[in-house]
Amino acid sequence: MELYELGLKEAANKIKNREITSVELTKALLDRIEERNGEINAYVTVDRDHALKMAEESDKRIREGNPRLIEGVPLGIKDLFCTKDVRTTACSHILDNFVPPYESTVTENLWKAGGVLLGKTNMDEFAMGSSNETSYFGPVKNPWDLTRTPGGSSGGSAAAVADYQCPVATGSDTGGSIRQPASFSGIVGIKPTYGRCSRFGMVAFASSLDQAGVFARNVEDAALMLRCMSGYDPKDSTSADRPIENYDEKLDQLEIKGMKIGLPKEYFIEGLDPTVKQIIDDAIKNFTDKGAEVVEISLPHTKYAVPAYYIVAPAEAAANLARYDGMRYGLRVEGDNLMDTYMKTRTEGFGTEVKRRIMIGNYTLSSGYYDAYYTKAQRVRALITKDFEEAFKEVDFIFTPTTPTPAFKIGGKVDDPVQMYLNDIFTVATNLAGLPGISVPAGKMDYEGANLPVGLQIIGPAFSEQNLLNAAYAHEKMTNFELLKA
Amino acid sequence: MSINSETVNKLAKLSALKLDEATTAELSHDLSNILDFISQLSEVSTDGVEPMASTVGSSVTPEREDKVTAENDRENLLKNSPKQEMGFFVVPRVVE
Repeated sequence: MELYELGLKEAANKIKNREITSVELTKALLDRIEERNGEINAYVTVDRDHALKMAEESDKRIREGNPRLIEGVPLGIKDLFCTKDVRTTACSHILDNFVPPYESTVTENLWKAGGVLLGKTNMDEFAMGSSNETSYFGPVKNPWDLTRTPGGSSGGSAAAVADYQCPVATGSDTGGSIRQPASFSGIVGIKPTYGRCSRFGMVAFASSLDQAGVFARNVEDAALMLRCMSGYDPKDSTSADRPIENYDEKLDQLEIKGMKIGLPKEYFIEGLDPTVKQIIDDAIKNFTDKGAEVVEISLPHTKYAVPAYYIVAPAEAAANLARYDGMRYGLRVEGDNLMDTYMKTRTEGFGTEVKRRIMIGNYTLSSGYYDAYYTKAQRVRALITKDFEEAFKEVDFIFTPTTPTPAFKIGGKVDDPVQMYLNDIFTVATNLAGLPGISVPAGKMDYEGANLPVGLQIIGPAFSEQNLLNAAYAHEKMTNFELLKA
Repeated sequence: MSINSETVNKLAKLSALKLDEATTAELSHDLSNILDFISQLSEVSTDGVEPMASTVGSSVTPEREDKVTAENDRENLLKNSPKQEMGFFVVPRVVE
């Protein structure tokens, strides 16, 4: 086994027991990236010296007998978490020279737990996309099949973890941007409850929906990573003031007998590939064989989740992205006067999908349309949230496919924004309701001539991350899913 | 519903974006489709439903103490500015 194949917990243990050093592991991963990045394009910034310096500091702590939870383990960081002194671009031209003067809380927490910054991962521009094709730095390739997308917007993080270019990575999920790429890339991805992780220092897309989360090759690593990065932060007033749980230490505490699994009838719809459905049915059967009970439930406003999302998210994005004016940081393209400079800067700095969303947002927020679109979407959001509240009175978890099909081809949906948006159909509702969701590999299938992974999504009530991880862990133990070979 | 090029241009101006003719035509097509798609919401009865801006209630979003901290110094912040002089941001003339 090569060093770069180690998972988070394995690596942390080997470093702690002095079987390997952090510098050795970091070098092995940096070499792996150098070898593979030309093909996969998972990383947009790798600062070798910075990584090795952090690794040396970790090794020093180990020698002093003072290791922290994940001491010395290199991590992939989605390029929208501000990292002090290391370029952070959100994969947009408008920020491609931005070197943050401060650290995001999520990454700060990870460094305090002993993590090493390996590199910044590729993503859709400002996290707006489902295929990583809107990145200013070009699309990421799916390591299972290089003609396909690893999903988006956290495509670089997903591909890096699947391709052993880091043990774990951070992501962010506004409408499915962790769960969908995890499903497409055959790995675990968890989006916790809104507020579980601080948004401070995370480049904003849609502030009421954005939430940081994790990619890993197994549930235990996802649990450990989430434990290290989450928690209350006075700098984000929407972060939740709740104690952090030691998620990774309680994973076997699920009582399957008598547990109630909800299957929303609206999710098993046309457009859902029959083989995907079969794989999810098989996963559910593993639970019912051990005494779990299946309950058919209804989430009647499901159909309206995607349209409501595509009003709320662009509206918030239009407001958030108004800050990019070329004055204090980022790109500036000089014009004839102030307004002209604003316009030239933004026109050159933003890609097409970002422009589309800003304009849709400004349309739905403009006077005369505000109530018909924006307020209406907020009311529908309340109904969608209520659907889930009702459902969780009857069931402990909701099981669904993560996506209707496995990974699609790069270029396959890029010309039709509405088709691209529909890919989020099983994931966006949980963001609107602020609920936690996890995608965990459930099987593989032949699809358009390729053998591709399929993910099971498990959704739980707010702040049920521990239960969710336990259910995912139980699923993992009952499923023989083989990860991609290095 | 269709969004004509006049509306696209108005939206571009609101968004501080400049569009050439080809992009205007493309966006007019895309935005019309997106608008058709999101207009489905008019089917939903929302009488008596309060709009929901966030899943976090305002009662649980405390303000932090208004205390001076020294995390962002001038020199560091100015490093990212496209143009700077004598410790200030240089911006286009706004007063004639």
